[in-house]
Amino acid sequence: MGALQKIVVIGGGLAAHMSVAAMSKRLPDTIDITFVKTSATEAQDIFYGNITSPSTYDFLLGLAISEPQLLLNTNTSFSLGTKYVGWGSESRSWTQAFYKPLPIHDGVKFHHYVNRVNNGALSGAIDPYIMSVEAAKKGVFAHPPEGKNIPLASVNYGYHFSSVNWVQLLAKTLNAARVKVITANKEQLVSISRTANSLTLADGLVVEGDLFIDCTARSAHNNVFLSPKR
Amino acid sequence: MGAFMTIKRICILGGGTAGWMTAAGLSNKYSDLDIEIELIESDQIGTVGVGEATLPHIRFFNNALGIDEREFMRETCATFKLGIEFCDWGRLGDRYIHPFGDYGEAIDGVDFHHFWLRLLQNGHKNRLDDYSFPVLAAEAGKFQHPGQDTSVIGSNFGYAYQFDSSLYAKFLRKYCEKNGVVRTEGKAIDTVIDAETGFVKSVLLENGVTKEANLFIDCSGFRGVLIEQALKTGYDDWSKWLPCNRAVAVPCEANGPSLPYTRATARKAGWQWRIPLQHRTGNGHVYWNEYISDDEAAHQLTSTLEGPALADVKQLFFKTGKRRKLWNKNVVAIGLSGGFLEPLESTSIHLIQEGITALIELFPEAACATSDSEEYNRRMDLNFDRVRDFLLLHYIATQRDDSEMWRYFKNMTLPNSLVETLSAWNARGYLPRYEQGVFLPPSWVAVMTGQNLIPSGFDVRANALLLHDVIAKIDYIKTTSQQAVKLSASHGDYIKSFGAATSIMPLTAATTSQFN
Repeated sequence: MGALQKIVVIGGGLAAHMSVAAMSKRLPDTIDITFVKTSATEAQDIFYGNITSPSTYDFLLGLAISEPQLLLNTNTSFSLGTKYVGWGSESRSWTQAFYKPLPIHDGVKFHHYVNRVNNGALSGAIDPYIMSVEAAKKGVFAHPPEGKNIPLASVNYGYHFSSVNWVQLLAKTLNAARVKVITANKEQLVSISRTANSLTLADGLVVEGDLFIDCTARSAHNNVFLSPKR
Repeated sequence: MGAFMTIKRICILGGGTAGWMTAAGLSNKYSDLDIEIELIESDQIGTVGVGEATLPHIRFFNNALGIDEREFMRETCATFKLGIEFCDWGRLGDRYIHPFGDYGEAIDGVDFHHFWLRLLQNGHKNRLDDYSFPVLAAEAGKFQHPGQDTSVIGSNFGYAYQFDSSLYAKFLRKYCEKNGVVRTEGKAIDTVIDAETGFVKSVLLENGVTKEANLFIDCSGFRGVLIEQALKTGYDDWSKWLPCNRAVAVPCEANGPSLPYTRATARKAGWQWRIPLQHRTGNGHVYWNEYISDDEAAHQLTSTLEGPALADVKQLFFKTGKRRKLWNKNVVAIGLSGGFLEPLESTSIHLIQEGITALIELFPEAACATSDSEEYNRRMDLNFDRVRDFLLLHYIATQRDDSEMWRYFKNMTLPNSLVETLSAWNARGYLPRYEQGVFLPPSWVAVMTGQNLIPSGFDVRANALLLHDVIAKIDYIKTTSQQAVKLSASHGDYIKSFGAATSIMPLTAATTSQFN
């Protein structure tokens, strides 16, 4: 079997835009990327939530989207973590934050020492040692410095974001010379040929591919396009 | 939840490499605590002591114990080890070195070997070895410690040792006794099991003394006195995949310059090891007795020695596999009592170390919660499975079919895990990454390319750079590696100038014959 040459991404939401952006950036030009852009699935992007993990920073940087660009062009804000309120039978609340691994002394993880000092009552006792938890509680933020051994360097963060904004930013930064974009209404996606590795739109356009990335979400109209017809 | 009952007494049964390493590891962590550690060993029972070659992880073990490298090397007659040379594995006449360390360095997050594969497919003939400092240094018989900045070429490698494991056990014994470990001379003849819990309560020694403990570590070797004879844990037999079941071993006089690597040469019904120590050379022949007699195996070994033998040929018997549970009730099996995999990739001592590390991390309460033992067993199972697959790779990634044994491997049904790895590799040089398992992708790359298993494709991202840019980048790695080798000292000189030369005189047949 020969090398993979054509990738087709179908969808309209965040997953489709992130997939197209990453692949067009990382894969060599010898691989064609076609983006069959359906009407947005924003309504369903709500299921992604509004908070990302710390790895997003590197992911976006890999797409050449800098943090200032992100903040200035979308209504993104920093996230140090999540406050959980009223969980479990005892209705417990706590702040769960992003932070770099706590120090390990003599091969023993930090929380064991905290546990020991507090005679086994770990609940909340570790918070004062985690700067992002304390900062989150106070509602303050500062960037962790790189390569400096100070407490602030232990902080990690994700983003609060709106997927609608991110889709707009990713669409704007899409490399038009690299990706072939076909705009299609969902209703236009009519059939898939499993033998010819192609899908046919209602207007008769045939899109061929070696690999299809299905980002059409769980369709509200209950027709998931790329699932095999039984 | 019941009362938190801590472990007060640990009993280690058996004093070979496994027993003393375990005692050293545990006493280092627990000597300040109210935990007694006792090791029972009998001078009547010999140790196997086959594992004389190690993996780089042994350095972290020694470091954790606070052992001085020079002293350790002097006391155990150790040499430095940059890798293993494999002869006659892919085809008769082939040779390659499996080094400790990456080839080249990743470019834009893509592993180096993909770029090498791209150039190979474009007709470039450079060996992957040319981009590995440890391979080039080993080939030149040279050594230097990796520098502090491991991103620098000539520093991005690991190293291990070849040492005399019986001297290592002695060395650790001194360390343990300083740390308060009690050594008892004795032979276990019976075990008392708690009828209610099924735990081992005590062992009865030949002299009538009973030894109780909360936790028992079975380091009794192949017999598995506690894990098998007492607890009937059962054994997973892996002979159908790794059928070699015997070995003969003999030390001989060292001949020629000291080499910083172990050698493993494929034979018609097994393979032969050569392990250079400071005072002698260790040799052995691992074989499948189905296709070669013991006498012939011994003859093949003794007729290829580089110098006069220093002892009689020692015969060993084994069955490849692993105890069904390495931790069962309150018994943890460490060393040969837990399982055996042939020493083709020097994993025996490493698996001991993994067992000790996992035990310390999961160190239980006296009740030995099954959540602890199950996690331990999951971890150790993965470690064993993955070593097994990696060893099997050597036998099946080959073009040899010149004897019954090689033909057996040609027709074998492989474990699924290995089939998946091979399929991803053959298509585009991809190797799975996992957390538990000692051999990282560079090791797989070494063996696969060394035995002529070249993928048909590679990671497409390696095409993102222009060809001449790739050539410039990788040529730089090659020249820098060569220069670093040029500046290194010969292995023998380095050991001396480092202060690691042993005071034990090189052994000769004339001086050792009186003991035989």
